[in-house]
Amino acid sequence: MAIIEAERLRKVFTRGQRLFGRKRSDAPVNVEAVRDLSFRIEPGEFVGFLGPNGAGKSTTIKMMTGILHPTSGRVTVDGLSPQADRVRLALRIGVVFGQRTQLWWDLPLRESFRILRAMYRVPPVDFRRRMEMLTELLGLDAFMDMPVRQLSLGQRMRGELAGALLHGPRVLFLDEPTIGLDVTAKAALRQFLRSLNAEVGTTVILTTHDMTDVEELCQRILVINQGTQVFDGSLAELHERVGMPSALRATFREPPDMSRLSDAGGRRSSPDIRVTVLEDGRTVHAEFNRLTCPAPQVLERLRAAGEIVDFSMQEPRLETIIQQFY
Amino acid sequence: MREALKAAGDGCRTYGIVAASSLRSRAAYTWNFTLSLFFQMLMYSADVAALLLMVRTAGAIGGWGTYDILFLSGLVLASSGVYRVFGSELHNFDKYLVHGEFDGVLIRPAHTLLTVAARSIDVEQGGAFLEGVVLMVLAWRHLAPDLGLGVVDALCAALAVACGAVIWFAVVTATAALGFWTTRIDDLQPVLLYGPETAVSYPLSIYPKAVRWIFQTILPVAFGSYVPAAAILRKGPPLSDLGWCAAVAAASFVAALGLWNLGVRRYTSTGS
Ligand SMILES: Nc1ncnc2c1ncn2[C@@H]1O[C@H](COP(=O)(O)OP(=O)(O)OP(=O)(O)O)[C@@H](O)[C@H]1O
Ligand SMILES: [Mg+2]
Repeated sequence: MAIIEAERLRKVFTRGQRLFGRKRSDAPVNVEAVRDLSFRIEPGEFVGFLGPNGAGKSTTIKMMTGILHPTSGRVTVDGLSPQADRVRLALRIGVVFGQRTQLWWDLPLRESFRILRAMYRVPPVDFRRRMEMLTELLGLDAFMDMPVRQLSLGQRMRGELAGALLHGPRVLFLDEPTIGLDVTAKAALRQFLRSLNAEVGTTVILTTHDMTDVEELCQRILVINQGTQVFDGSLAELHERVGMPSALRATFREPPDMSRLSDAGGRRSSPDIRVTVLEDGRTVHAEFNRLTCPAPQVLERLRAAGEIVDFSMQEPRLETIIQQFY
Repeated sequence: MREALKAAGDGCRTYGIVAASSLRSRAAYTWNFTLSLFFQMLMYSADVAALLLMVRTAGAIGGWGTYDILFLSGLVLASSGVYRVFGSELHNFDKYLVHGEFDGVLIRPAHTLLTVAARSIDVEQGGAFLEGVVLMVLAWRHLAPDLGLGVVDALCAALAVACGAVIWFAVVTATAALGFWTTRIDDLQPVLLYGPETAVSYPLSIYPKAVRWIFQTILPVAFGSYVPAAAILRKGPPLSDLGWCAAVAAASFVAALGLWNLGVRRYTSTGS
Protein backbone atom coordinates (compact mmCIF):
# COMPACT_ATOMS: atom_id res chain seq x y z
CA MET A 1 0.00 0.00 0.00
CA ALA A 2 1.44 3.29 -1.07
CA ILE A 3 1.86 5.81 1.72
CA ILE A 4 1.50 8.77 -0.62
CA GLU A 5 -0.62 8.79 -3.70
CA ALA A 6 -1.03 11.75 -6.01
CA GLU A 7 -3.29 11.60 -8.99
CA ARG A 8 -3.38 14.27 -11.66
CA LEU A 9 -2.55 16.90 -9.08
CA ARG A 10 -2.93 20.45 -10.28
CA LYS A 11 -2.54 23.84 -8.63
CA VAL A 12 -3.27 27.15 -10.27
CA PHE A 13 -2.41 30.40 -8.51
CA THR A 14 -4.27 33.50 -9.52
CA ARG A 15 -2.08 36.54 -9.36
CA GLY A 16 -2.97 40.20 -9.41
CA GLN A 17 -6.49 39.55 -8.24
CA ARG A 18 -7.40 41.54 -5.20
CA LEU A 19 -10.74 42.22 -3.63
CA PHE A 20 -9.72 45.77 -2.81
CA GLY A 21 -6.77 47.76 -3.90
CA ARG A 22 -4.51 48.85 -6.63
CA LYS A 23 -4.27 45.88 -8.88
CA ARG A 24 -7.91 45.91 -9.82
CA SER A 25 -7.32 47.14 -13.35
CA ASP A 26 -4.81 44.44 -14.24
CA ALA A 27 -6.30 41.29 -15.56
CA PRO A 28 -5.67 38.37 -13.20
CA VAL A 29 -2.85 36.13 -14.32
CA ASN A 30 -3.09 32.41 -13.78
CA VAL A 31 0.09 30.57 -12.87
CA GLU A 32 -0.10 26.83 -13.26
CA ALA A 33 2.42 25.88 -10.58
CA VAL A 34 1.66 22.16 -10.69
CA ARG A 35 -0.04 20.35 -13.54
CA ASP A 36 -1.05 16.77 -13.91
CA LEU A 37 1.38 15.41 -11.36
CA SER A 38 0.87 11.76 -10.48
CA PHE A 39 3.09 9.56 -8.34
CA ARG A 40 3.03 6.87 -5.68
CA ILE A 41 5.46 6.64 -2.82
CA GLU A 42 5.85 3.45 -0.81
CA PRO A 43 6.47 3.36 2.96
CA GLY A 44 10.15 3.66 3.86
CA GLU A 45 11.23 5.34 0.65
CA PHE A 46 13.60 8.30 0.64
CA VAL A 47 12.49 10.46 -2.25
CA GLY A 48 14.10 13.62 -3.58
CA PHE A 49 11.98 16.18 -5.39
CA LEU A 50 14.25 18.02 -7.79
CA GLY A 51 13.77 20.74 -10.30
CA PRO A 52 14.74 24.31 -11.09
CA ASN A 53 13.47 27.33 -9.15
CA GLY A 54 9.76 27.70 -9.62
CA ALA A 55 9.27 24.11 -10.78
CA GLY A 56 6.49 23.52 -8.28
CA LYS A 57 8.29 21.43 -5.66
CA SER A 58 7.27 23.50 -2.66
CA THR A 59 3.74 23.81 -4.00
CA THR A 60 3.51 20.02 -4.24
CA ILE A 61 4.81 19.61 -0.69
CA LYS A 62 2.28 22.16 0.53
CA MET A 63 -0.52 20.17 -1.08
CA MET A 64 0.71 16.96 0.54
CA THR A 65 0.85 18.60 3.96
CA GLY A 66 -2.58 20.23 3.86
CA ILE A 67 -1.33 23.79 3.52
CA LEU A 68 -2.73 24.32 0.04
CA HIS A 69 -5.86 22.97 -1.55
CA PRO A 70 -5.25 21.44 -4.99
CA THR A 71 -7.12 23.12 -7.83
CA SER A 72 -7.94 19.66 -9.09
CA GLY A 73 -6.68 16.12 -8.71
CA ARG A 74 -6.39 13.98 -5.66
CA VAL A 75 -3.73 13.33 -3.05
CA THR A 76 -3.70 11.05 -0.03
CA VAL A 77 -1.04 10.66 2.61
CA ASP A 78 -1.19 7.60 4.83
CA GLY A 79 -4.71 7.04 3.56
CA LEU A 80 -5.93 10.50 4.56
CA SER A 81 -6.77 13.57 2.55
CA PRO A 82 -4.42 16.34 3.71
CA GLN A 83 -7.20 18.89 3.29
CA ALA A 84 -10.30 17.13 4.61
CA ASP A 85 -8.41 15.29 7.36
CA ARG A 86 -5.83 17.96 8.09
CA VAL A 87 -5.84 17.65 11.88
CA ARG A 88 -5.67 13.85 11.91
CA LEU A 89 -2.94 13.79 9.30
CA ALA A 90 -0.91 16.43 11.15
CA LEU A 91 -0.43 13.88 13.95
CA ARG A 92 1.21 11.47 11.53
CA ILE A 93 3.52 13.71 9.53
CA GLY A 94 6.45 15.98 10.29
CA VAL A 95 7.22 19.08 8.24
CA VAL A 96 10.35 21.22 8.08
CA PHE A 97 10.78 24.29 5.89
CA GLY A 98 14.39 25.33 5.52
CA GLN A 99 13.62 29.01 5.28
CA ARG A 100 11.12 29.36 8.03
CA THR A 101 10.99 28.37 11.66
CA GLN A 102 8.30 26.21 13.12
CA LEU A 103 9.54 26.76 16.66
CA TRP A 104 8.66 29.45 19.17
CA TRP A 105 10.98 32.32 18.45
CA ASP A 106 11.14 33.78 21.97
CA LEU A 107 11.13 30.57 23.93
CA PRO A 108 14.01 28.25 24.79
CA LEU A 109 14.23 25.20 22.58
CA ARG A 110 13.29 22.99 25.51
CA GLU A 111 10.08 24.95 25.97
CA SER A 112 9.20 24.57 22.28
CA PHE A 113 9.46 20.82 22.68
CA ARG A 114 7.22 20.90 25.74
CA ILE A 115 4.60 22.78 23.76
CA LEU A 116 4.85 20.36 20.87
CA ARG A 117 4.50 17.43 23.23
CA ALA A 118 1.24 18.88 24.51
CA MET A 119 0.03 19.80 21.06
CA TYR A 120 0.65 16.36 19.63
CA ARG A 121 -0.38 14.60 22.83
CA VAL A 122 2.80 12.53 22.93
CA PRO A 123 2.67 9.99 25.77
CA PRO A 124 5.33 10.76 28.43
CA VAL A 125 7.20 7.49 27.88
CA ASP A 126 7.49 8.04 24.12
CA PHE A 127 8.42 11.65 24.65
CA ARG A 128 11.29 10.79 26.98
CA ARG A 129 12.58 8.04 24.73
CA ARG A 130 12.47 10.14 21.55
CA MET A 131 13.87 13.21 23.27
CA GLU A 132 16.83 11.21 24.50
CA MET A 133 17.50 9.79 21.08
CA LEU A 134 17.11 13.10 19.27
CA THR A 135 19.20 14.98 21.81
CA GLU A 136 22.00 12.52 21.35
CA LEU A 137 21.88 12.17 17.58
CA LEU A 138 21.42 15.86 16.90
CA GLY A 139 23.60 17.14 19.76
CA LEU A 140 20.91 19.40 21.13
CA ASP A 141 22.30 19.55 24.67
CA ALA A 142 24.54 22.53 24.06
CA PHE A 143 21.70 24.89 23.17
CA MET A 144 18.64 23.32 24.69
CA ASP A 145 18.04 26.27 27.01
CA MET A 146 18.72 29.05 24.53
CA PRO A 147 15.85 31.01 23.01
CA VAL A 148 15.31 29.94 19.43
CA ARG A 149 16.04 33.43 18.09
CA GLN A 150 19.59 33.17 19.43
CA LEU A 151 20.40 29.88 17.71
CA SER A 152 22.65 29.72 14.68
CA LEU A 153 21.08 28.45 11.48
CA GLY A 154 22.66 25.02 11.91
CA GLN A 155 21.55 24.73 15.51
CA ARG A 156 18.07 25.90 14.65
CA MET A 157 17.81 23.39 11.84
CA ARG A 158 18.66 20.58 14.23
CA GLY A 159 16.02 21.94 16.59
CA GLU A 160 13.46 22.08 13.78
CA LEU A 161 14.13 18.45 12.88
CA ALA A 162 13.79 17.32 16.46
CA GLY A 163 10.55 19.30 16.72
CA ALA A 164 9.18 17.67 13.59
CA LEU A 165 10.00 14.17 14.86
CA LEU A 166 8.90 14.35 18.49
CA HIS A 167 5.55 12.78 17.75
CA GLY A 168 7.09 9.96 15.73
CA PRO A 169 5.63 10.80 12.32
CA ARG A 170 5.39 8.16 9.62
CA VAL A 171 6.29 10.63 6.89
CA LEU A 172 8.76 13.50 7.08
CA PHE A 173 8.56 16.35 4.56
CA LEU A 174 11.66 18.51 4.21
CA ASP A 175 11.68 21.56 1.96
CA GLU A 176 15.32 22.57 1.41
CA PRO A 177 16.51 21.54 4.87
CA THR A 178 20.19 22.02 4.02
CA ILE A 179 19.89 25.52 2.61
CA GLY A 180 22.51 27.83 4.08
CA LEU A 181 24.22 25.17 6.19
CA ASP A 182 27.99 24.67 6.16
CA VAL A 183 29.64 21.47 5.02
CA THR A 184 29.89 19.82 8.42
CA ALA A 185 26.36 20.75 9.40
CA LYS A 186 25.09 19.33 6.12
CA ALA A 187 27.03 16.12 6.66
CA ALA A 188 25.67 15.71 10.18
CA LEU A 189 22.15 16.33 9.00
CA ARG A 190 22.46 13.79 6.21
CA GLN A 191 23.89 11.21 8.58
CA PHE A 192 20.91 11.75 10.84
CA LEU A 193 18.35 11.54 8.06
CA ARG A 194 19.92 8.39 6.71
CA SER A 195 19.70 6.58 10.01
CA LEU A 196 16.18 7.86 10.60
CA ASN A 197 15.13 6.38 7.29
CA ALA A 198 17.07 3.14 7.70
CA GLU A 199 16.45 2.38 11.37
CA VAL A 200 13.11 3.94 12.20
CA GLY A 201 11.74 3.39 8.71
CA THR A 202 10.38 6.92 8.36
CA THR A 203 9.39 7.81 4.81
CA VAL A 204 11.23 10.97 3.82
CA ILE A 205 10.33 13.44 1.07
CA LEU A 206 12.95 16.07 0.46
CA THR A 207 13.54 18.96 -1.90
CA THR A 208 17.02 20.32 -2.44
CA HIS A 209 19.32 22.02 -4.89
CA ASP A 210 22.33 20.23 -3.44
CA MET A 211 23.74 17.39 -5.53
CA THR A 212 25.42 15.80 -2.52
CA ASP A 213 22.10 15.58 -0.66
CA VAL A 214 20.74 13.63 -3.57
CA GLU A 215 23.76 11.38 -3.99
CA GLU A 216 23.97 10.49 -0.35
CA LEU A 217 20.31 10.27 0.55
CA CYS A 218 17.80 9.80 -2.19
CA GLN A 219 17.02 6.29 -3.35
CA ARG A 220 14.55 7.74 -5.73
CA ILE A 221 14.40 11.00 -7.59
CA LEU A 222 11.40 12.80 -8.99
CA VAL A 223 12.38 15.59 -11.33
CA ILE A 224 9.73 18.23 -11.82
CA ASN A 225 9.83 20.96 -14.39
CA GLN A 226 7.17 23.56 -14.90
CA GLY A 227 4.84 21.62 -12.71
CA THR A 228 5.06 18.30 -14.50
CA GLN A 229 7.11 15.25 -13.76
CA VAL A 230 9.92 14.73 -16.23
CA PHE A 231 11.81 11.92 -14.52
CA ASP A 232 11.15 9.27 -11.90
CA GLY A 233 13.87 6.81 -10.95
CA SER A 234 17.17 6.30 -9.14
CA LEU A 235 20.23 8.51 -9.45
CA ALA A 236 21.98 5.82 -11.49
CA GLU A 237 19.07 5.75 -13.90
CA LEU A 238 19.17 9.53 -14.08
CA HIS A 239 22.83 9.41 -15.09
CA GLU A 240 22.07 6.72 -17.61
CA ARG A 241 19.55 9.01 -19.19
CA VAL A 242 21.54 12.23 -19.26
CA GLY A 243 25.12 11.28 -18.43
CA MET A 244 27.25 13.38 -16.13
CA PRO A 245 27.84 16.75 -17.68
CA SER A 246 31.11 18.04 -16.28
CA ALA A 247 33.48 20.84 -17.07
CA LEU A 248 37.22 21.30 -16.87
CA ARG A 249 39.20 24.49 -17.00
CA ALA A 250 42.84 24.41 -18.11
CA THR A 251 45.35 27.26 -18.15
CA PHE A 252 48.15 27.04 -20.72
CA ARG A 253 51.62 28.60 -20.43
CA GLU A 254 51.31 30.08 -23.94
CA PRO A 255 48.08 30.77 -25.80
CA PRO A 256 47.10 27.28 -26.94
CA ASP A 257 47.22 26.32 -30.56
CA MET A 258 43.72 25.10 -31.15
CA SER A 259 44.47 23.66 -34.56
CA ARG A 260 46.77 21.11 -32.96
CA LEU A 261 43.98 20.16 -30.66
CA SER A 262 41.97 19.09 -33.64
CA ASP A 263 44.97 17.10 -34.95
CA ALA A 264 45.01 15.00 -31.83
CA GLY A 265 41.35 14.71 -31.12
CA GLY A 266 39.76 14.64 -34.50
CA ARG A 267 37.43 17.60 -34.76
CA ARG A 268 37.92 20.68 -32.63
CA SER A 269 34.63 20.35 -30.89
CA SER A 270 33.87 16.69 -30.99
CA PRO A 271 30.43 15.61 -29.83
CA ASP A 272 31.79 14.55 -26.45
CA ILE A 273 34.01 17.61 -25.76
CA ARG A 274 33.00 21.21 -26.29
CA VAL A 275 35.89 23.63 -26.02
CA THR A 276 35.83 27.40 -25.65
CA VAL A 277 38.85 29.68 -25.20
CA LEU A 278 38.26 32.32 -22.58
CA GLU A 279 39.02 36.02 -23.00
CA ASP A 280 42.54 35.95 -21.62
CA GLY A 281 43.50 33.65 -24.49
CA ARG A 282 45.29 31.17 -22.24
CA THR A 283 42.43 29.55 -20.41
CA VAL A 284 40.27 26.91 -21.99
CA HIS A 285 36.87 25.77 -20.81
CA ALA A 286 35.99 22.24 -21.85
CA GLU A 287 32.58 20.69 -21.31
CA PHE A 288 32.20 16.97 -21.64
CA ASN A 289 30.21 13.99 -20.50
CA ARG A 290 32.09 12.05 -17.87
CA LEU A 291 30.27 8.86 -18.62
CA THR A 292 31.49 8.65 -22.22
CA CYS A 293 34.71 10.60 -21.88
CA PRO A 294 36.64 10.47 -18.59
CA ALA A 295 38.50 13.57 -17.39
CA PRO A 296 42.08 12.23 -17.91
CA GLN A 297 41.25 11.60 -21.52
CA VAL A 298 40.03 15.18 -21.94
CA LEU A 299 43.23 16.47 -20.32
CA GLU A 300 45.31 14.29 -22.61
CA ARG A 301 43.64 15.73 -25.65
CA LEU A 302 44.04 19.31 -24.45
CA ARG A 303 47.73 18.75 -23.86
CA ALA A 304 48.22 18.52 -27.61
CA ALA A 305 47.46 22.24 -27.81
CA GLY A 306 50.31 23.29 -25.52
CA GLU A 307 51.76 23.03 -22.04
CA ILE A 308 49.16 23.09 -19.29
CA VAL A 309 50.24 24.87 -16.11
CA ASP A 310 47.07 24.56 -14.11
CA PHE A 311 43.67 22.97 -14.32
CA SER A 312 40.53 22.55 -12.27
CA MET A 313 37.52 20.29 -12.46
CA GLN A 314 33.99 21.50 -12.08
CA GLU A 315 31.73 18.91 -10.57
CA PRO A 316 28.58 18.11 -12.47
CA ARG A 317 25.91 20.36 -11.02
CA LEU A 318 22.51 19.03 -10.31
CA GLU A 319 20.99 21.94 -12.18
CA THR A 320 23.03 21.12 -15.26
CA ILE A 321 21.98 17.51 -15.12
CA ILE A 322 18.37 18.37 -14.68
CA GLN A 323 18.58 20.99 -17.39
CA GLN A 324 19.00 18.17 -19.84
CA PHE A 325 15.31 17.57 -19.43
CA TYR A 326 14.15 20.86 -20.83
CA MET B 1 -20.29 14.73 19.55
CA ARG B 2 -18.13 13.08 22.18
CA GLU B 3 -15.21 13.26 19.81
CA ALA B 4 -15.79 16.96 19.28
CA LEU B 5 -15.85 17.51 23.04
CA LYS B 6 -12.66 15.57 23.47
CA ALA B 7 -11.00 17.60 20.71
CA ALA B 8 -12.14 20.80 22.38
CA GLY B 9 -10.77 19.59 25.71
CA ASP B 10 -7.42 18.69 24.15
CA GLY B 11 -7.33 22.05 22.44
CA CYS B 12 -7.90 23.91 25.68
CA ARG B 13 -5.23 21.91 27.46
CA THR B 14 -2.71 22.70 24.74
CA TYR B 15 -3.76 26.31 24.85
CA GLY B 16 -3.13 26.38 28.59
CA ILE B 17 0.38 24.98 28.21
CA VAL B 18 1.28 27.38 25.43
CA ALA B 19 -0.14 30.27 27.39
CA ALA B 20 1.86 29.32 30.47
CA SER B 21 5.06 29.14 28.42
CA SER B 22 4.35 32.47 26.87
CA LEU B 23 3.80 34.00 30.30
CA ARG B 24 7.03 32.53 31.61
CA SER B 25 8.98 33.92 28.71
CA ARG B 26 7.54 37.38 29.29
CA ALA B 27 8.19 37.21 32.99
CA ALA B 28 11.87 37.08 32.11
CA TYR B 29 11.65 40.74 31.17
CA THR B 30 10.04 42.03 34.37
CA TRP B 31 11.07 45.63 33.88
CA ASN B 32 9.97 45.74 30.34
CA PHE B 33 6.66 44.28 31.41
CA THR B 34 6.05 46.68 34.28
CA LEU B 35 7.02 49.74 32.29
CA SER B 36 4.90 48.89 29.32
CA LEU B 37 1.91 48.14 31.56
CA PHE B 38 2.43 51.48 33.28
CA PHE B 39 2.66 53.48 30.06
CA GLN B 40 -0.35 51.79 28.65
CA MET B 41 -2.46 52.68 31.64
CA LEU B 42 -1.17 56.23 31.34
CA MET B 43 -2.20 56.30 27.70
CA TYR B 44 -5.68 54.93 28.32
CA SER B 45 -6.12 57.36 31.23
CA ALA B 46 -5.39 60.23 28.87
CA ASP B 47 -8.08 58.97 26.49
CA VAL B 48 -10.63 58.67 29.24
CA ALA B 49 -9.70 62.07 30.70
CA ALA B 50 -10.28 63.69 27.33
CA LEU B 51 -13.64 62.01 27.04
CA LEU B 52 -14.71 63.08 30.51
CA LEU B 53 -13.57 66.62 29.95
CA MET B 54 -15.79 66.79 26.93
CA VAL B 55 -18.74 65.40 28.84
CA ARG B 56 -18.16 67.87 31.68
CA THR B 57 -18.26 70.83 29.35
CA ALA B 58 -21.14 69.56 27.29
CA GLY B 59 -23.15 68.41 30.27
CA ALA B 60 -25.14 65.23 29.97
CA ILE B 61 -25.20 63.83 26.44
CA GLY B 62 -28.09 61.88 25.16
CA GLY B 63 -29.44 61.65 28.69
CA TRP B 64 -26.22 60.11 30.04
CA GLY B 65 -24.36 61.84 32.84
CA THR B 66 -20.60 61.90 33.47
CA TYR B 67 -20.57 58.75 35.59
CA ASP B 68 -22.83 56.88 33.20
CA ILE B 69 -20.34 57.54 30.46
CA LEU B 70 -17.47 56.64 32.75
CA PHE B 71 -19.15 53.28 33.29
CA LEU B 72 -19.75 52.82 29.58
CA SER B 73 -16.19 53.60 28.55
CA GLY B 74 -14.90 51.41 31.36
CA LEU B 75 -17.02 48.59 30.00
CA VAL B 76 -15.67 49.07 26.48
CA LEU B 77 -12.09 49.32 27.69
CA ALA B 78 -12.35 46.23 29.89
CA SER B 79 -14.00 44.04 27.27
CA SER B 80 -11.81 45.12 24.39
CA GLY B 81 -8.81 44.65 26.68
CA VAL B 82 -9.56 40.95 26.63
CA TYR B 83 -8.95 40.66 22.90
CA ARG B 84 -5.77 42.68 23.24
CA VAL B 85 -4.46 40.04 25.61
CA PHE B 86 -5.82 36.83 24.12
CA GLY B 87 -6.22 37.83 20.51
CA SER B 88 -2.97 39.69 20.04
CA GLU B 89 -1.85 37.30 17.28
CA LEU B 90 -5.15 37.79 15.44
CA HIS B 91 -4.75 41.49 15.92
CA ASN B 92 -1.37 41.26 14.17
CA PHE B 93 -2.52 38.67 11.69
CA ASP B 94 -0.92 40.46 8.71
CA LYS B 95 2.40 38.83 9.31
CA TYR B 96 0.93 35.36 8.92
CA LEU B 97 -0.40 36.21 5.49
CA VAL B 98 2.31 38.48 4.15
CA HIS B 99 5.16 36.17 5.10
CA GLY B 100 3.29 32.91 4.70
CA GLU B 101 3.69 32.05 8.37
CA PHE B 102 0.23 30.57 8.28
CA ASP B 103 1.86 27.50 6.70
CA GLY B 104 3.20 26.67 10.13
CA VAL B 105 -0.28 26.92 11.63
CA LEU B 106 -1.79 24.53 9.12
CA ILE B 107 0.64 21.73 9.90
CA ARG B 108 -0.42 21.63 13.56
CA PRO B 109 -3.03 19.14 14.80
CA ALA B 110 -5.53 21.68 16.13
CA HIS B 111 -8.04 24.16 14.84
CA THR B 112 -6.21 26.99 13.10
CA LEU B 113 -7.87 29.73 15.15
CA LEU B 114 -6.80 28.08 18.36
CA THR B 115 -3.26 27.53 17.09
CA VAL B 116 -2.94 31.17 16.08
CA ALA B 117 -4.43 32.54 19.30
CA ALA B 118 -2.20 30.31 21.38
CA ARG B 119 0.91 31.44 19.57
CA SER B 120 1.31 34.19 22.13
CA ILE B 121 -0.59 35.85 24.91
CA ASP B 122 0.12 39.49 25.40
CA VAL B 123 -0.16 40.00 29.15
CA GLU B 124 1.28 43.47 28.86
CA GLN B 125 -1.90 44.50 27.11
CA GLY B 126 -3.79 43.65 30.30
CA GLY B 127 -3.51 47.35 31.18
CA ALA B 128 -6.63 48.19 29.22
CA PHE B 129 -8.63 45.55 31.02
CA LEU B 130 -7.45 46.66 34.46
CA GLU B 131 -8.10 50.27 33.73
CA GLY B 132 -11.55 49.48 32.38
CA VAL B 133 -12.45 47.61 35.56
CA VAL B 134 -11.17 50.48 37.70
CA LEU B 135 -13.33 52.96 35.79
CA MET B 136 -16.37 50.75 36.12
CA VAL B 137 -15.85 50.41 39.86
CA LEU B 138 -15.40 54.17 40.28
CA ALA B 139 -18.58 54.87 38.37
CA TRP B 140 -20.40 52.15 40.24
CA ARG B 141 -19.57 53.60 43.65
CA HIS B 142 -21.03 56.89 42.57
CA LEU B 143 -24.10 55.53 40.85
CA ALA B 144 -25.06 52.59 43.04
CA PRO B 145 -26.79 54.48 45.90
CA ASP B 146 -28.97 56.61 43.63
CA LEU B 147 -29.94 53.83 41.24
CA GLY B 148 -30.15 51.19 43.95
CA LEU B 149 -27.71 48.86 42.17
CA GLY B 150 -27.23 45.52 43.89
CA VAL B 151 -25.53 42.18 43.56
CA VAL B 152 -27.67 41.14 40.61
CA ASP B 153 -26.65 44.27 38.77
CA ALA B 154 -23.00 43.61 39.57
CA LEU B 155 -23.32 40.13 38.11
CA CYS B 156 -24.97 41.64 35.08
CA ALA B 157 -22.05 44.02 34.72
CA ALA B 158 -19.65 41.08 34.75
CA LEU B 159 -21.80 39.37 32.13
CA ALA B 160 -21.71 42.55 30.08
CA VAL B 161 -17.91 42.51 30.13
CA ALA B 162 -17.95 38.87 29.05
CA CYS B 163 -20.40 39.57 26.21
CA GLY B 164 -18.33 42.53 25.11
CA ALA B 165 -15.15 40.45 25.21
CA VAL B 166 -16.69 37.74 23.03
CA ILE B 167 -18.07 40.26 20.55
CA TRP B 168 -14.76 42.11 20.26
CA PHE B 169 -12.99 38.82 19.86
CA ALA B 170 -15.40 37.96 17.07
CA VAL B 171 -14.73 41.30 15.39
CA VAL B 172 -10.96 40.76 15.62
CA THR B 173 -11.35 37.24 14.25
CA ALA B 174 -13.56 38.39 11.39
CA THR B 175 -11.16 41.22 10.54
CA ALA B 176 -8.25 38.79 10.50
CA ALA B 177 -10.31 36.41 8.36
CA LEU B 178 -10.92 39.15 5.81
CA GLY B 179 -7.15 39.15 5.41
CA PHE B 180 -7.46 35.87 3.52
CA TRP B 181 -9.12 37.93 0.79
CA THR B 182 -7.19 41.17 1.13
CA THR B 183 -3.82 39.96 2.48
CA ARG B 184 -3.40 43.12 4.54
CA ILE B 185 -5.68 43.90 7.44
CA ASP B 186 -4.08 47.07 8.76
CA ASP B 187 -6.30 49.08 6.42
CA LEU B 188 -9.40 47.36 7.77
CA GLN B 189 -8.69 47.59 11.47
CA PRO B 190 -9.29 51.34 11.89
CA VAL B 191 -12.71 50.96 10.27
CA LEU B 192 -13.84 47.72 11.85
CA LEU B 193 -12.08 47.86 15.18
CA TYR B 194 -10.57 51.09 16.44
CA GLY B 195 -13.30 53.38 15.12
CA PRO B 196 -16.16 51.38 16.63
CA GLU B 197 -14.20 51.03 19.86
CA THR B 198 -14.08 54.79 20.30
CA ALA B 199 -17.59 55.28 18.98
CA VAL B 200 -19.33 52.96 21.42
CA SER B 201 -17.59 54.60 24.37
CA TYR B 202 -20.28 57.26 23.92
CA PRO B 203 -24.01 56.57 24.27
CA LEU B 204 -25.37 55.19 21.04
CA SER B 205 -28.35 57.56 21.27
CA ILE B 206 -26.24 60.49 20.08
CA TYR B 207 -25.57 58.91 16.69
CA PRO B 208 -27.61 59.07 13.49
CA LYS B 209 -29.91 56.17 12.80
CA ALA B 210 -27.64 54.57 10.20
CA VAL B 211 -24.72 54.35 12.62
CA ARG B 212 -26.91 52.92 15.35
CA TRP B 213 -28.21 50.38 12.89
CA ILE B 214 -24.70 49.26 11.92
CA PHE B 215 -23.60 48.81 15.53
CA GLN B 216 -26.67 46.74 16.27
CA THR B 217 -26.58 44.52 13.22
CA ILE B 218 -23.61 43.78 10.99
CA LEU B 219 -21.06 45.01 13.53
CA PRO B 220 -23.02 44.28 16.70
CA VAL B 221 -20.64 45.92 19.15
CA ALA B 222 -23.48 47.81 20.84
CA PHE B 223 -24.55 44.52 22.46
CA GLY B 224 -21.32 44.51 24.42
CA SER B 225 -21.47 48.15 25.42
CA TYR B 226 -24.47 50.47 25.07
CA VAL B 227 -27.24 47.90 25.29
CA PRO B 228 -26.14 46.18 28.53
CA ALA B 229 -25.02 49.47 30.04
CA ALA B 230 -28.42 51.05 29.35
CA ALA B 231 -30.13 48.11 31.05
CA ILE B 232 -27.87 48.11 34.08
CA LEU B 233 -27.96 51.89 34.51
CA ARG B 234 -31.78 51.98 34.38
CA LYS B 235 -32.03 53.90 31.14
CA GLY B 236 -35.26 52.20 30.22
CA PRO B 237 -34.62 48.72 28.82
CA PRO B 238 -35.09 45.80 31.24
CA LEU B 239 -32.19 43.78 32.64
CA SER B 240 -33.45 40.79 30.70
CA ASP B 241 -32.00 42.45 27.60
CA LEU B 242 -28.69 40.99 28.72
CA GLY B 243 -29.98 37.66 27.53
CA TRP B 244 -30.10 39.14 24.05
CA CYS B 245 -26.56 40.39 24.48
CA ALA B 246 -25.32 36.90 25.33
CA ALA B 247 -27.17 35.46 22.35
CA VAL B 248 -25.73 38.07 20.01
CA ALA B 249 -22.25 37.47 21.42
CA ALA B 250 -22.52 33.73 20.76
CA ALA B 251 -23.96 34.28 17.30
CA SER B 252 -21.29 36.77 16.30
CA PHE B 253 -18.56 34.42 17.39
CA VAL B 254 -20.07 31.59 15.37
CA ALA B 255 -20.36 33.88 12.35
CA ALA B 256 -16.75 35.03 12.71
CA LEU B 257 -15.62 31.43 12.99
CA GLY B 258 -17.52 30.59 9.81
CA LEU B 259 -15.87 33.44 7.95
CA TRP B 260 -12.50 32.32 9.26
CA ASN B 261 -13.01 28.74 8.09
CA LEU B 262 -14.05 30.00 4.70
CA GLY B 263 -10.95 32.16 4.52
CA VAL B 264 -8.58 29.34 5.47
CA ARG B 265 -9.68 27.44 2.37
CA ARG B 266 -8.60 30.40 0.29
CA TYR B 267 -5.16 30.67 1.82
CA THR B 268 -2.54 30.54 -0.90
CA SER B 269 0.67 30.68 1.11
CA THR B 270 3.64 32.52 -0.41
CA GLY B 271 6.09 31.67 -3.13
CA SER B 272 9.08 30.76 -1.01
N1 LIG C 1 1.61 31.60 -2.99
C1 LIG C 1 1.84 31.74 -4.29
N2 LIG C 1 1.15 32.65 -5.00
C2 LIG C 1 1.35 32.79 -6.30
N3 LIG C 1 2.22 32.08 -7.03
C3 LIG C 1 2.95 31.16 -6.39
C4 LIG C 1 2.80 30.95 -4.99
N4 LIG C 1 3.64 29.97 -4.61
C5 LIG C 1 4.29 29.60 -5.71
N5 LIG C 1 3.89 30.30 -6.79
C6 LIG C 1 4.38 30.15 -8.16
O1 LIG C 1 4.28 28.78 -8.49
C7 LIG C 1 5.42 28.33 -9.16
C8 LIG C 1 6.05 27.18 -8.40
O2 LIG C 1 6.57 27.64 -7.17
P1 LIG C 1 7.23 26.70 -6.08
O3 LIG C 1 7.50 27.53 -4.88
O4 LIG C 1 6.42 25.49 -5.90
O5 LIG C 1 8.60 26.32 -6.79
P2 LIG C 1 9.81 25.45 -6.23
O6 LIG C 1 9.95 24.29 -7.13
O7 LIG C 1 9.66 25.19 -4.80
O8 LIG C 1 11.03 26.44 -6.48
P3 LIG C 1 12.33 26.73 -5.59
O9 LIG C 1 13.34 25.76 -6.00
O10 LIG C 1 12.70 28.10 -6.02
O11 LIG C 1 11.94 26.64 -4.16
C9 LIG C 1 6.30 29.55 -9.33
O12 LIG C 1 6.07 30.06 -10.61
C10 LIG C 1 5.83 30.50 -8.29
O13 LIG C 1 5.99 31.82 -8.72
MG1 LIG D 1 10.64 25.79 -3.02
